[in-house]
Amino acid sequence: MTDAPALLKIENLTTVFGGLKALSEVSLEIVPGQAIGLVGPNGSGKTTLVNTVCGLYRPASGRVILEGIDITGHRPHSIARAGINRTFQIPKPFKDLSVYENVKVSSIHSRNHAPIEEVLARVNLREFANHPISELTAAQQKRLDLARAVALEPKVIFVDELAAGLTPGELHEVAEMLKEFQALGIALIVVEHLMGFLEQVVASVLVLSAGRTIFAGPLRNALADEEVKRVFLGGESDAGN
Amino acid sequence: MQSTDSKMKRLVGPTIATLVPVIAFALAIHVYSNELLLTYMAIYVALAQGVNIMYGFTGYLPFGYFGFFGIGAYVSGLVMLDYNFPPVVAVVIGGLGGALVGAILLPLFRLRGAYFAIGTLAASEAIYTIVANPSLQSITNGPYGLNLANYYSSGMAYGSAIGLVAISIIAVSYVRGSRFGLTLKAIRDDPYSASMAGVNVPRQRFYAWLISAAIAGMAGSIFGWATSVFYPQAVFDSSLSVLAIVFALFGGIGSVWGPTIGAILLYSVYNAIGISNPQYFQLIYGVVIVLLVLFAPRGLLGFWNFIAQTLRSKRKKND
Repeated sequence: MTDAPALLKIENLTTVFGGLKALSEVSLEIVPGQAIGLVGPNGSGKTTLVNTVCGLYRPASGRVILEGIDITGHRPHSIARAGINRTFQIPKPFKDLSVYENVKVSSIHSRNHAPIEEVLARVNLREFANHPISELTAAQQKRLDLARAVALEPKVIFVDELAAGLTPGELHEVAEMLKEFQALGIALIVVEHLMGFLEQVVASVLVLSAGRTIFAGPLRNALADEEVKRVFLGGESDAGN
Repeated sequence: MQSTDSKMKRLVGPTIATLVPVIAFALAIHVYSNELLLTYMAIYVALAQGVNIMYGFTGYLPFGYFGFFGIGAYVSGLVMLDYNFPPVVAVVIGGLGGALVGAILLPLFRLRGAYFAIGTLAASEAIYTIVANPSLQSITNGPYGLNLANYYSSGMAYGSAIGLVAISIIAVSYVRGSRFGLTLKAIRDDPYSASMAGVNVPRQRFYAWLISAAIAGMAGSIFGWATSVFYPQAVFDSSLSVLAIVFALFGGIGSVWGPTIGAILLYSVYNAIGISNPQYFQLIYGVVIVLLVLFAPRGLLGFWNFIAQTLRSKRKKND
């Protein structure tokens, strides 16, 4: 951890659906350029946390503070423009727009009108700029989600399962790509199941189970934590996979 | 210099798309003498383009589109009768009336899909019930409608209808080629993703809704003026919405030419069948719509693009 002031502070965030507490008093802090893994089994509340911070769900309690400003419950576009963005587990490109136009939608809403070609180059999609979305693979569509997020000049990005379905070579390439964003000062919260991939990108993790934080700290300590092993890994130490 | 050239190039398409139907309507009166029918056809072109802005670019289907049309007819009629406004000015005020009602109905955007379509239908029926209410006879003349015979000028009304065709096509061309249009298409594909791209979804949708409502309001105003005497059920008629939507879909939504072509072709067929074979009218028209849905779900232009794309890829393979 560094001593830099927190860029994003999530304080005791709780989200309730009907009678179900999908997220229970989850807290997290991240500084510029830091990468934190957000892990947990299916249904543990990872995506609910992302959706709540990004304004899709209104929290029952708790606060989201970006650079000292409370943005809890703000509308999604305000949160995105303030500097928090995300990718999607199932990619959500604008299907009727070209790759270039997809990124342009973000770029025209960014403060400095981020150069689209440059953003596409960062996610290795430059050669597909004029292609329709139907010609992209699922992995490329996920990178397009990332490009759209980057084009809005974010301070924090929630990267939701970007590595799923990639070959080891591609995994390495994506990890390097994320490190480049970190080097630009963008903080990353990486939602991921693949521990091998996480080890390349993050040093610390937040582990959720049933909407609660069961571990927060260095990744290697998480791999040794009994409760994490029981809940997330099913009791087996297959973390290197 | 280069950017001026490219700007000029970008203007060529919309200019042709606007001028061709405008000139065609201006000349049509010398070939076909039924001015009222041509006026209605021009009104339907504008309505189909209005639907195009709303449905083609945001994905929200306004079944209750006729509500703006009816309000436009009433607002313009009343400012003519009560305040003696010149008809052309009254048409503009009718458009503003449509936009104002659009603003009042803004909460309908909390609904989505079929619920939105039904919601707008219900809202327009409610407006009709209010306007036609006998207890409001002192204001709206209740169920007895409006008599604009003193302002009747078929030529002026036709000219205004052609002007509205131009306005609606220019509006669609602007939306299609602008950043505004790009954000609307993003909203249509996925509103939440669009908001994460920084798009203020409710505001952008609201602007599209206002433009669309204003076009319907002006169309209703010209309809009332050209018809001269009308009852509330004639301008608050749900079949107006259905026809405008079918015309837009038939031609191809999301395009500039589609709704124009769709409205002109289908309205001609509509009247031809209605005059020559009124007994088979519903049947033939129904079959046309079924064929459209089955074989050209993206409209005539979509079908044309599909064929052009297929031929192009075949040629590529042969090369």
